[in-house]
Amino acid sequence: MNDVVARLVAPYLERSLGQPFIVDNRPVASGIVGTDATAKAPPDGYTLLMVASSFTVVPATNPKLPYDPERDLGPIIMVAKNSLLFLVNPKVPANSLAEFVTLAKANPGKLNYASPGAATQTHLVVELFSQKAGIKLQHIPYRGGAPAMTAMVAGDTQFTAISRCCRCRRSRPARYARSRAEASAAMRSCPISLPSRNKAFPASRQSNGSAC
Amino acid sequence: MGSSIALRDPELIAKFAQQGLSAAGGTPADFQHTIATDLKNWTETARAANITAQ
Repeated sequence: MNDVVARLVAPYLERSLGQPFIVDNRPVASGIVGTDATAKAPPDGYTLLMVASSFTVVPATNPKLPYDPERDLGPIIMVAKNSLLFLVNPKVPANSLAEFVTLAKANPGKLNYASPGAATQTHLVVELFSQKAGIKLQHIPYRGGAPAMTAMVAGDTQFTAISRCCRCRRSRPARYARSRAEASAAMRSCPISLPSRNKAFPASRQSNGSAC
Repeated sequence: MGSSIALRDPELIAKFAQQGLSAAGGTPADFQHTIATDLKNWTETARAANITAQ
């Protein structure tokens, strides 16, 4: 997502600043490598960093980072916001977050969710959701977002939460289902972080942001 | 600042929308406050759930 947003923004920054921009994608280690490279770059204003929410998630679970996110980098602007989608396998007997919470309270520790890995944004978001809702859910970490989504669609896990809408939208027919209709049957979405309908999932329901 | 000017460009806003994104904005101070708040919240969440990077 960072790479997509950076490449979208770069031409407009070039236009408004009159400087060429080169996007150098360093996607490994939850952004630690790219963030560290920027933190250690000459402070001449010619090296900028585009980060996602992992910028604040990673320090919360990793006290041994090679940089200090507040001391070594200066904030400029929040570029864009992305909704978080709560996706359940259609076999789960819950048609809303409220119904899901009721189901989870009746079955403590029995509902499991897929994440792209331990200590990722999805992991922390669902744990926060669990804490606020007073429910106990089982975490199943996978090696990346695509395997996590595949596991949820296959029914190996009951749900997941994702924020990479554009990647999911593009890859959904090819990776998770053969058609739009099949994709609709393979997952159900409940947006939980934005009050407006998301264009990446036009059939999804709205939330008022107080789903817990 | 060029970044805030760029984020007001209707063409860029439309491209964001195609990706399911909405343009944000604000001042560096706003962004710093968001970062500090998120760091605090995620640290508390991770501590309560005993989550550490492996």
